[in-house]
Amino acid sequence: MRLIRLLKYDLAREAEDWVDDGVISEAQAELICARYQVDYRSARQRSLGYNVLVGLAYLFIALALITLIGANWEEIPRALRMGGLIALTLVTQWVALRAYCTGDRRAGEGLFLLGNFFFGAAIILIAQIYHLGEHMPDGIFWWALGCLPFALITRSPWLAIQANVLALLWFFLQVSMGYYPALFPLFIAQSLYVLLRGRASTILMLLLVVSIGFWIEFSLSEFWRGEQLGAGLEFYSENLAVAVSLFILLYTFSHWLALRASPVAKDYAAVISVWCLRFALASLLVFSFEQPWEALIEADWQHRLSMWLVVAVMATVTLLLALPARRLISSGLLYVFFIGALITVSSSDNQDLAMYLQVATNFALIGCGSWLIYRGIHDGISHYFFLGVMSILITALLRYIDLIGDYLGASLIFILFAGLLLGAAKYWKYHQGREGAQ
Amino acid sequence: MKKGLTFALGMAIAAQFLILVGMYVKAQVPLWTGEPIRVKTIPVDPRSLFRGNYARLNYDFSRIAKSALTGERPIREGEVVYVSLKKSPSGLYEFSAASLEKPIEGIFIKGRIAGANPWSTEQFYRIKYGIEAYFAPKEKALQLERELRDGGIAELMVAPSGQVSLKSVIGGG
Repeated sequence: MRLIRLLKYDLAREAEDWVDDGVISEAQAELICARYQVDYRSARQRSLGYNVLVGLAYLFIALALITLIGANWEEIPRALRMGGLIALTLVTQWVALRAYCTGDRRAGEGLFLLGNFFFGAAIILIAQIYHLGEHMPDGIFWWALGCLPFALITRSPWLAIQANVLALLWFFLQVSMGYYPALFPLFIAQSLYVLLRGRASTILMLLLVVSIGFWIEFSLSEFWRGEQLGAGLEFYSENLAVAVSLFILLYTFSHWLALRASPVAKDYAAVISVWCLRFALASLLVFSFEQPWEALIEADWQHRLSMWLVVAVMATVTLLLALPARRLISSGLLYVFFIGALITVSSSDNQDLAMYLQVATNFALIGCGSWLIYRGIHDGISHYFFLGVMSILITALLRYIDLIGDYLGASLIFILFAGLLLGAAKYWKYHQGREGAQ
Repeated sequence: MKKGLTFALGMAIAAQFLILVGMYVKAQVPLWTGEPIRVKTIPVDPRSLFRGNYARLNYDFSRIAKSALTGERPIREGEVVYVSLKKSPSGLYEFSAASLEKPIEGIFIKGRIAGANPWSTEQFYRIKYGIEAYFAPKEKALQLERELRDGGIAELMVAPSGQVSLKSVIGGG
């Protein structure tokens, strides 16, 4: 998938300059923009930068107020401070309501955002007045919950992001204290609703994906903790297997999403696909060393049955999505390699296997790099090409530091890399020649 | 449509107001209905940029021996625990017993296990009651730290449900 989809508004701006310089006509600019499903005329009016700056300004107003509360002035009576902050919250929300309902929706959303920050400041002040405990995840929860209706009613991505970020903060606070945040799906549902019914937002989409991922992982962790006495909420080796399954599922989902008619779905697909690719390469780089494999072979794997059940469910969903997306071979191959490695590490105590798995990972890394270079040249997708070259070069650098086996082995690997890169260069020339002849 | 939207947003604002009132009432309940007790405390002085200056308080019953909860169901992190307190000859309340079940009578406070690693060699559970922070302006916090160097006395208000509020901290521990 080409990254140009993520830069389509910049392309529209460029087209605007081309029209001004007389390079192309306005009708041609509209046609170019239409190819990427962006409205040339509305792109000229786009004010993302303005909204981001206003949002950040509101955030700093809130931070200024919260730090002012932190000073804990005794000169002002507590009741007055609390009453003042509650009044400030209600007045800000009332002004936001007036702005929103009289037609200035964006200004209204911005003021709701500010009002929600004041609401959080009021909660912090109450906690201070009553000396409420050292950790206050409950306060963060009520803050997030108070923001949630505004996100649902206005369907504003920014308000949904605010509620979701606060919910994530509460989630991690709860988890760090050993509690399971059972109500977190409520915030996942709100983000999903706003994403489906409101304006498009890549940030909200990524936040939703991250939230779902963490919720699945920690729910499993809570379930596994129930099978094991006394343990706190933590990550098990099984969580890693589930994370890999999730990313394979996401990768396939992105290709399924790319086939939808909606331009927004195509944009989301491009973002998810890019991040899955990055995750895959980063994971392969980590596992191109021996130690992670040794640690996995050494691990207890006490929850194999439930882990395999979750992996099987995810594999089934992946294959169901892969069929219409025409990604059955790539998804299937990914699962074959992943399940093979998982069976090896979860059922064997033989530490010698770690070296073989390391070698296999290095070959997989070279294979991925080569495939990305091929796709980059063949389909003209520049970020695939550069990712492929980068992964091969990083592998070479790591192996140079790591020196698999001995100098002779390392030398052979470098020769292999050189051969691959020269082959890629030759293919490029051949491909260019063929395109020129057509 | 517009009327419904205005009403819905009005309800959302009312919900925020109710949450703030609810937090205030919940914090006030032990102060309205609770019984005052005095316990020994040792403060430590941290600071938080966003939450202000506060003294972090430690109590004798912030750590209880693992043996105090044996024979009950397995202990997990975050588990609710009830700690019963008894009055000592000095007039201060001290640890008496701990249970996962709510006691029927006596003075008891509700807390949560903050660390329960079964493989840990520690013989204690750490418990948090929500009374571990005493907020004060910087000068007062530092003065408090000097006054309470050898320990102090915390005045708590304990509701019949075990919910506890920190009322004040004074020297003379």
